[in-house]
Amino acid sequence: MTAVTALLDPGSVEMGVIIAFVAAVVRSGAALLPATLGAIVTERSGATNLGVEGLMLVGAVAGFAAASQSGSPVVGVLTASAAGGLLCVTHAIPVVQGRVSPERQLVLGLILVYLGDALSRLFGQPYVGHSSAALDTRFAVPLLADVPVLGEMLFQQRGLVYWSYGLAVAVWFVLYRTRLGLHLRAVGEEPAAADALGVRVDLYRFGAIVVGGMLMGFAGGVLSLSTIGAWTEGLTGGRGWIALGLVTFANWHPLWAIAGTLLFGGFEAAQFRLPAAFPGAQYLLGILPYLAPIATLPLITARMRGRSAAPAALGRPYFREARG
Amino acid sequence: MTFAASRPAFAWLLGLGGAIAFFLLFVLVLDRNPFTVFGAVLVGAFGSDVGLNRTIARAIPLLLLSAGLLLAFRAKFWNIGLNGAMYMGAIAASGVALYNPTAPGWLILPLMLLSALAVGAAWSLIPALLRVWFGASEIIVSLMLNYVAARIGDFLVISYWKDPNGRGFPGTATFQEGFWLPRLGSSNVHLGLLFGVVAMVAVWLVLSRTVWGLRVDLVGQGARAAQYLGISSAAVLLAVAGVSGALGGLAGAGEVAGLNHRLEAGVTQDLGYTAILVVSLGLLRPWLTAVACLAVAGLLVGGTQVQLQFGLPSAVSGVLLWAILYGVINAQNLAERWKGGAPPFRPAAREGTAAAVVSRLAASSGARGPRDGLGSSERSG
Repeated sequence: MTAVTALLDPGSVEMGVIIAFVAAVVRSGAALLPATLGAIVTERSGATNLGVEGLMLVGAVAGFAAASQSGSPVVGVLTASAAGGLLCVTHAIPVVQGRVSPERQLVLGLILVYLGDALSRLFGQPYVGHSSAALDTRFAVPLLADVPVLGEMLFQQRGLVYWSYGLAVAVWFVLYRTRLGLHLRAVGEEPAAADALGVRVDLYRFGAIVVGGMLMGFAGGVLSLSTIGAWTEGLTGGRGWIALGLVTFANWHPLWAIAGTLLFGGFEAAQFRLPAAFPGAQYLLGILPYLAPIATLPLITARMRGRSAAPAALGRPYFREARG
Repeated sequence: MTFAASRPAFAWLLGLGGAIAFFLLFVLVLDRNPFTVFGAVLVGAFGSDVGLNRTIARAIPLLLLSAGLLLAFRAKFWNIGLNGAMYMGAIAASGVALYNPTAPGWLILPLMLLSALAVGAAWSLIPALLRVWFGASEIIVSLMLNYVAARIGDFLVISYWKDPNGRGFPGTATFQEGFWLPRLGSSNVHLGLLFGVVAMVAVWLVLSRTVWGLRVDLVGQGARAAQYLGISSAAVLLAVAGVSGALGGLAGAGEVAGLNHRLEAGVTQDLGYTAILVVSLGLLRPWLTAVACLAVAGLLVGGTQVQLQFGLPSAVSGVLLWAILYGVINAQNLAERWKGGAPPFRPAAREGTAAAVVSRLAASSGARGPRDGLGSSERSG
């Protein structure tokens, strides 16, 4: 009984640990979420982009460099997005205009991973161990931050964390509440039908790949400026791949992506809180983000038959004369 | 020369020319002579005994991996999990070696290879089974499994299997000499080369000379066509997944038993991904893929050589390598697109009419007539 009251008391040590953990979960998820959203936007148009990891790395360097030069983390993340979008143009041209076969689409995504990695190492060299970048600062949301437990958990985060979660709602709104989003989903589902209705399939796919790349670049910027607050080679450490798994886990839905991100952010946050005496448990937690999509994929595809949101035309080039 | 015939040439000019222009510009910006640098890549990869030695050693796992991928990709089973299968193969072979340190090599070495084949096959069967049972996308499952395998390997080499005398290096102790694959003279070229060549030739024979190979291509054409001809696409998918995974596992075993003689963190060096690029460069055709193996292995080795020789950061050779390969992939794609029609490996195009395919299949014992339930509505589109 005393344990329960101690737990519920906002001032107790136990409660303090829980609050700190939830806050860390929300923080860890902030870099994962925009990357997942980027992959969702891309795949919803029927295109694939395996290059998330590379685009995040490029975004992380570009964001860090721009924040160092300008002194503003906002300029940093905007530059990170621009870098991600720009690099994705090299993906969009062959995928959309070149109508590459599915295996070439995979290969081009992988090339983006390695090209992004090499570019980030090349341009990031002067920034390794650099600390003068204007990092993201904590921002307490007025009023909400003062709510006892929830305020500390959710509303005393660093600024970019709010951006990330806000973006998820924005992407959801665009995908499900606007004509633009309806067209985009149609292009990924039935490009021939969309084409017949006058929707410009190529334009939507091109746009989705570039906007997806901007979101992935943004995620990299959040990682280097907010979550970690530094640049080192290979900073992303597999987060780009985890984001790809999250797309499946979230059933291609931006709001489910928030839930998935929090769960996966929980794995990450818990990893650093385990006693160092059990490295096995740490590695097990490190595996969970990769196992979770595998475990849920059959459920999504079989149990939710008809409700799975996997775009029907995913990875398939669209030829007008072929009608599908 | 008509315009139609010159269009593929123009595509190559555009893609390869773009890549070369990028190379020239990039190297000039770095204030080096592009011709010397390119010469150094070639010499570094093929020009010296040491270079050739390294190139062939790099090509061995690529041969095995891409032979397996050819089968999988021709059936349009997008197995991008060979990096994981390779890792698991390396782990399995190392496990056999580490837990039987005093057993004779003639017994253990084959066991290492067999266990790698089995574990690799099992690893790739996971995405195949999930696809066959639930219709789950093999791309995401096999991709995720790569990282599961890597985490398992990374964990083992810093914990239970760690070399006690390794001074903190994440790797196992060196296996006893009896467990090493025989090498050619004093080179790095080990018996795995023979496995790789045999695998590639076998895949070529199967794909081009057997009914089973035709089935693989037909399943790749679309499940409906295969079903109409009485081919179980599930059986074909499971088979190509198992074989590709087994070859991936063997590639991993080759790295630990032939090259490093122990298990290290990051043993696959992402070759499982590189192999995807290789089969794409090889246009999913065995002989071209074998050439692409050697070329990509050469670029990887030559790139490392250049960065040592010219004091360039490793990122530079990385940017150059991937930018050039990007150009080549695009050149190939444009050449195919602008030529019009289907890529040459598609059997329907090669064999002429569908009737020829049907009669060839009917001659084989496994063929059955059209099944019920696939009525005209299926074919009306």
